[in-house]
Amino acid sequence: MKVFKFLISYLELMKYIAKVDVSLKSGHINSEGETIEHLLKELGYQVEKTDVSKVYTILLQAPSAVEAKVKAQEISERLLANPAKDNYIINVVEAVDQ
Amino acid sequence: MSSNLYMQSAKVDNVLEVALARATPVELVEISNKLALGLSLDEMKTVQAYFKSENRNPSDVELQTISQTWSEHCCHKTFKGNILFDGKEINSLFKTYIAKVTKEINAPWCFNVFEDNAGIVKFDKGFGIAAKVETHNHPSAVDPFGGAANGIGGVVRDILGVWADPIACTGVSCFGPLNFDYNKLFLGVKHPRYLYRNIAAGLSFYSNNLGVPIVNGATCFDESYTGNVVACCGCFGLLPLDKYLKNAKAGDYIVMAGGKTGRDGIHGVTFASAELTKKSEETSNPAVQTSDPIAEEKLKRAIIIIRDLQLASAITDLGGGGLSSAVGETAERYHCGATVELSKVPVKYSGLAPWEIYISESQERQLFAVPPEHLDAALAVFKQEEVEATAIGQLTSERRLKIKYQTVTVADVDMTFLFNIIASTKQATLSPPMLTEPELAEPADLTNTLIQLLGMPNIASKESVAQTYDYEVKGNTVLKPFQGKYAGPNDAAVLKPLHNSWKGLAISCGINPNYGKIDPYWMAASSIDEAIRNNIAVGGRRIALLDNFIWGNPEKPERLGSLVRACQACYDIAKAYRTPFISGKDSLYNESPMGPVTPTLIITALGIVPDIRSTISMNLKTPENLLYLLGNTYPELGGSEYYKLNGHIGLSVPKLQPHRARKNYYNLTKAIGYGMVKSCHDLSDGGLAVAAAEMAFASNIGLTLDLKAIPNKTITRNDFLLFSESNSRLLIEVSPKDRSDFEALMKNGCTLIGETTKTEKLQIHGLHNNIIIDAPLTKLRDAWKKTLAEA
Amino acid sequence: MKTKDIKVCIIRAAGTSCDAETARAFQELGVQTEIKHINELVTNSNLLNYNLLVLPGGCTFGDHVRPGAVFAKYLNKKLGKQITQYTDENRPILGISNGFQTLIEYGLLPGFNDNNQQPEITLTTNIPNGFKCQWVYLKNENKGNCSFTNQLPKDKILKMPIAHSEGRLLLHAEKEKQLLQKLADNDMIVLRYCNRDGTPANQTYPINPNGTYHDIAGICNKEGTILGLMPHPERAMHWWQEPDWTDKTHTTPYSDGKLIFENIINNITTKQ
Repeated sequence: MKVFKFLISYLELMKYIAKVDVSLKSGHINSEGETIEHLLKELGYQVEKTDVSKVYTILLQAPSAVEAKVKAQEISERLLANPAKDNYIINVVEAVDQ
Repeated sequence: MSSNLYMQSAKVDNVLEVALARATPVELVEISNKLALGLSLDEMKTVQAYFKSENRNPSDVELQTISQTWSEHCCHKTFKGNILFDGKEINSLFKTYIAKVTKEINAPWCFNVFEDNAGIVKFDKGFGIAAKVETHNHPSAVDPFGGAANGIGGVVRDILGVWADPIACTGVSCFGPLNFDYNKLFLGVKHPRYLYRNIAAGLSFYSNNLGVPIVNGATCFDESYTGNVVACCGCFGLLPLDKYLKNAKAGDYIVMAGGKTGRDGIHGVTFASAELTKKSEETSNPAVQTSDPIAEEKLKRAIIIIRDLQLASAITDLGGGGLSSAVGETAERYHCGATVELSKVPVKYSGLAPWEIYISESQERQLFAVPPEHLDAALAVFKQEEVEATAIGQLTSERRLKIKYQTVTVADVDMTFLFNIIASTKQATLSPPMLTEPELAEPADLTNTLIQLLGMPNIASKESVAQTYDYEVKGNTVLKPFQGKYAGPNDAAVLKPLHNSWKGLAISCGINPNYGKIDPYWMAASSIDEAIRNNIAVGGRRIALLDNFIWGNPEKPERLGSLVRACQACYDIAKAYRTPFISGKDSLYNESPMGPVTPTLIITALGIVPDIRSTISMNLKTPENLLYLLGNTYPELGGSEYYKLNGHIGLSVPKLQPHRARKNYYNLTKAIGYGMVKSCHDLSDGGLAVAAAEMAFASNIGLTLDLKAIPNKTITRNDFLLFSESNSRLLIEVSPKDRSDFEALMKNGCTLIGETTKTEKLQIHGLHNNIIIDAPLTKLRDAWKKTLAEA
Repeated sequence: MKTKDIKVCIIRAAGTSCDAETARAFQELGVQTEIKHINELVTNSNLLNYNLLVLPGGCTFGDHVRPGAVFAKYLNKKLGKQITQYTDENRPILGISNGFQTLIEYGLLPGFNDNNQQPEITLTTNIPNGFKCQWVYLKNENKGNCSFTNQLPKDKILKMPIAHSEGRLLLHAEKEKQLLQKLADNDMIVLRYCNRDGTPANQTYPINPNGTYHDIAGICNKEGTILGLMPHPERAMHWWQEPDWTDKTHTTPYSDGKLIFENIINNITTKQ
């Protein structure tokens, strides 16, 4: 394990964008979604369900997309999502310099 | 695995019949575990015998109902059970100490105590004040934001549950050190900093959305809270006493109103009564409840209208145990039985088993008893306020609880059996702490020590949190959490609840977790004294108390022994001060793999300010006034912040002489009434030096003090005089023109120890005539404000 | 019109919380005040029966989507015709905190263009981020257009509390200068955060508590009949609500918030 860490420190770090989408697990009522759903119906839109989630866009450095995802996963579990009530989906793409 | 113990009911889906009659003791325990009933073998045997006498097996709905009704959270087994301590048997801690002192004081202004969802005291012009404080520790450990939010939501519903309109909330929370090493955290335990931010955010979110101000509170830090976070929420409400209707009778409809029912908090009750383990986070998932303050706001409006129109004969909140507790307790209180049709309960999603509907703890729901002639009118009120309300059953004259699902009976239990809770007997012991008094050298630079103390997390300014609460909403906040141009900490909040009366309400609290490590008796005594003197300091009188015990597992004799001692202190001190307890709640089993919580008693005090125009704030008012110290200083540094700064606990915990203190408080109250007191501040964490600094830097008025003036026979060290945390002490600013009147009034209780100055400095002269503290106020203030400003 | 004949309607919805103290402030001044749930107004009331409409503080509909957005859409859907008629007659509306947010979301403020559904101004998240309850100083910068402040001396300093998490006025980025000019030209800037002595906050925190553009705390429409402000005048009605009243030896019976309520009532008594 130590050897492995030693090796990757020599690898070139790349920039990745991790998008973390945090939403309530099923079984929890999303009151924001419900409020919007009622209003949309009142305004004449025939919608079936409205859910709200929060997307965090994190620019980070990692040796590979897999490593970036692992990092984002750690961030999600430690701070962004509470596994007791939240689901989260991580999407990692390589950051393109503009 | 004896799976043949459970059979699907032939009559209705999702109901199990449990073959209790032929179950062996081993199987009884297995059933209790499998269905998460949390019942002991003895209790299971009692249940078995009951259903044998009924000649049938119970359904899971029945077992779950019994489990909820008998749970620690609902019936307070520990406080109401028997305890063997010190060779004596105590029959109910609650009756022997807490309720007893209230009964003996027999205050005519206590309107309703201990019986209902909240305690009620008389106020003014036919109005009463309802008060309740609850902890929401275990849910907050798993989901701090939601747990704290629901803490507010739940305690507000308790206030609504006595027909009172919530006017203010309080929040006390305790955390592990914010700089706790992340790598030393046990699996499943959240970092103190994460908890600190999210609990504050949850309290702020819910109270701000609901429009109820959080006006008072405390934040404490101690290692023992790392695995056992404390989130304690209080609420105060105003009610016209003639509208306090509680006269339900057989035939009245049981109406449920508010949010829909889901799987939220299933077994939250049994969860709260079991130690937190690393698995809690995964397995107790449903214990997390979503919160919707706007739903509660709508419910609140409907309740107040229904109260004013007198359309309901009883109300109670749906808290721990959900419908099962609310229906059972309502029926029991009015000596009725009840029938309930569970399929009428509005649900969030399909697939809920009947037992889940019955014990769900979904938030923002309330239960009413409505006489048949008022049913339509009551439902119309709910409709206008956009609150879903349904009649789900009726109270009956037959003393049985009958629950149906889609017209099939799924439970039919005798009420007397259900509420005949067997008193358990527990062992309690208490051994002296393994602590010694440290030998410290007196620091050469005491100014620096004071600066360090001001930055200690327990002392440092909590303004950054207080400002995230809308403490001004409702426009009744007379004395705010922070005072003066530079925001010093007020001792209590004062509210003016009635437009046509000058009478005010003073709300304060007391908490001393560190003393609990040395002696639970003096910890409890100190917390009571702190809450009372905070209240006295702003001009409060006729004080009522609320207790919240936060303890470890009471099955362990040592923990229970310390609980007994704390209860004894509650009796002794409240008796001496003549301050009755009006409501209380215990949160036991605060243990995690990281250890038990330090015994903590949170006391909330509710005082009356006869005229808010005489309210006293803590900041110094003008230079060249006199500063008096009320009370005596002893070498009591055990558990002090000063010892903590030096890495010690010590043994010399602050004690209390309540009879002497009561006389001092009485005289101080008189002096406030005569308008002699310009400012007043209590001495607590950090002792004299910290209190003096806070008073001075709050308005940038200087202060010189002389330690030689302090009457004391035993202390020969400057640091001990500066930082001792002896109880019952306050600093009082008096104008020189009132000197002789004030001194005559205070008799020997007060000593002149210094005066206010124009210098914008704190200067303290030591025992040997030298200046031992000399600091610009800005420097002291910065140290005090810095620690938690960005936390 | 006599003061006692003036009828004020405080409109509430799910999540309104400052209705009672706002009503109390108006009642103190001797006008008739009613608190009406939007549902009540839809079924059996006419807004044209009232001389002043007030949208009080709170968190209507949980501040979902954007604070005030849901309430504004409901108001428009359910009472839109009456509101148009009411404002066409240049009758006054006051929006406090969440009420201000609602007026902006409705398009009544700044009200530059009736047909424009895309707001050019918004109230958004505070900088620094988060809910903040504190007392602030405000300067009346209006030159006489606003019927809620026209009797106050220009540059009068008022002290009131704020309590919000989204009170930062933000103008459409590309038209910032142009929009500010338009607000100034039409005398629509009413209150700006300032120091105790009245010097401008100049975007310094916490004098400007939320990072609002140009220190703006309150604006009115071109006609001066509709005022929205983030601070809470109803919480600064009485002397004992002030944070430093215990420091004073002499107090006046009322506080600065009263001036705003009094001002509009005086205007109604003379105009109508």
